[in-house]
Amino acid sequence: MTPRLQHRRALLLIVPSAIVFVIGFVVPLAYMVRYSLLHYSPSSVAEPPVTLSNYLSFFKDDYTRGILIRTLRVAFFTTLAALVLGYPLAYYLTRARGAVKRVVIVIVLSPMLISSAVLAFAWLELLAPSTGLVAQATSKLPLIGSDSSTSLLYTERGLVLALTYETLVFMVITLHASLETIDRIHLRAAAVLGARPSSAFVRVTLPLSLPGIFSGCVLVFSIAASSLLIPLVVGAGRVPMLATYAYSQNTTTLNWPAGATAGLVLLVVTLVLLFGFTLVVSRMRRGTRRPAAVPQSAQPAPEEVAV
Amino acid sequence: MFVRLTSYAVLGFLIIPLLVVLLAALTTTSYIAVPPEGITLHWFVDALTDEGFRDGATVSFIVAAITALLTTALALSFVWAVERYRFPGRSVVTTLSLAPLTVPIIVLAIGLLFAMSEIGVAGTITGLVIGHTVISFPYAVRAISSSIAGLDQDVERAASILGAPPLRVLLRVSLPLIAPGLTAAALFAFLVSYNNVTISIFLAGPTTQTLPLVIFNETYTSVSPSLAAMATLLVAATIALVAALDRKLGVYSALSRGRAL
Repeated sequence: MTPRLQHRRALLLIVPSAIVFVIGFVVPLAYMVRYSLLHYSPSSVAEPPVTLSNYLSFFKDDYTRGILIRTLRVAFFTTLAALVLGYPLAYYLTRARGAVKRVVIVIVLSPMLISSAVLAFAWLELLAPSTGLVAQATSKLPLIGSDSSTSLLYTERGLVLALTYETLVFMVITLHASLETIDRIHLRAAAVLGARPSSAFVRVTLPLSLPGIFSGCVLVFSIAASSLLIPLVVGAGRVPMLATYAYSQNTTTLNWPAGATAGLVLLVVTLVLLFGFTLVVSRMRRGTRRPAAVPQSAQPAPEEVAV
Repeated sequence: MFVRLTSYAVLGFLIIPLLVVLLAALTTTSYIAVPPEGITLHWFVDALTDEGFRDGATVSFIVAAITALLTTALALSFVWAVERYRFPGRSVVTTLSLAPLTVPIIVLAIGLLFAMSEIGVAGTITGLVIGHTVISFPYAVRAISSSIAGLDQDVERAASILGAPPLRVLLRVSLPLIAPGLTAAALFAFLVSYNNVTISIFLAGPTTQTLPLVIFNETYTSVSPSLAAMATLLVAATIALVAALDRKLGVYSALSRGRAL
């Protein structure tokens, strides 16, 4: 086939996808930028002139700035919780085999594919005051016991709990992928050289899984920061996040400029995180390729493959 | 030991919310009680005969089926171009095809609301299909890429030498060989579309409320055991499909480099 013919055929095959990509991705993002730069008007939704005032008022207004800060705080604690809960499970998954592994994988994957409408409903039931399972369980504990008014529903802590559930999957999958690539030969070397399993874990496995930890954290942070359904149900109007604020501005208040601005702030936050951490991780990966302290003769051959 | 115990605890944490939904559907009371008071299956009958749920399920099915077909067809032709031809900008389009994964779905959903309103398809099946196709496309590309890359071109050459015209080689040799990848892509797109709320909540109109939206609206307005029953059915169907997909096609490995913001 001549190069000319190759180009033409490839173009023909790509054009349909490109059309959908432009209509469903490029144009929507362009409209967001456009609306975020227009004035809100109750009669026509948005009108010229082009202005940055939406962004200025977003950051000046205590209410919206508070929402941004809360979003970052909730996402931060969710990430922390997901890391603490996800690491042991990911580690366990690298050791599990056969049927056990299969079942664990299905359990882990389910929250990712189950509709977030169902997850939100489940957490509403779990956190419901006095009748919810969490309230029932804590009422049996001493100290907090009798105080049944301490419901986690409509609180930031409840939100962090439900978001941890929603995002844990992504942490486990990312960490597991990273742990799987660690060559067992490093652990055997550590054992041969007299390291106890615990110190082998701290000195070998943990450092080698750092890139995975970073990417898992970035992923969970951005998903938690942009989750809509769980905050809508578990936080209701009382714990507004960027996503729920943007949702209500766009659908109830019909202030599209404010909604678009909030959405773009969220996009910039997640993209800055994503690219910042990608940079850090790729540096780290480059670093692990050249273990300086290992003499040439003792260096394991499959090093490059493992990274 | 510590790892195993913590893992079991975390697995419990993952299962409990789903168990709660199931238990909430079993109660004989007309309100939700967990643990259930008495056991009955009649809320499942209720849910299956409920008109709101049925309409929602129908809309969801139509949208998900069209999305699955469209996404698979688009991804197949896209991946074929990228895998089989050399052309300028090849690596650029490959990167771009994954771009929807880097944008939070809520952000995309807001933009889609603006754009679909502008071209007049907000609130229609068409609008929903466009939105769902954009977010499931990257996964379909991934599922199909590996099966086309793994396709031995000597088999195609053999068919061609034996006199099969190009179209027949494609239909009788190539496509059957990459069928597992195509099935995975289609089922996955179907699942993503059927369960999606974040895009649908912005794009659905009064006559195009998908099943997850109906569930969400009831969660907001009136929770009942029949809502729990419907949610249970949706969860069971999803888990069954995930399990089948994983056994046959290794969804896990396809997902492990993915994200669904």
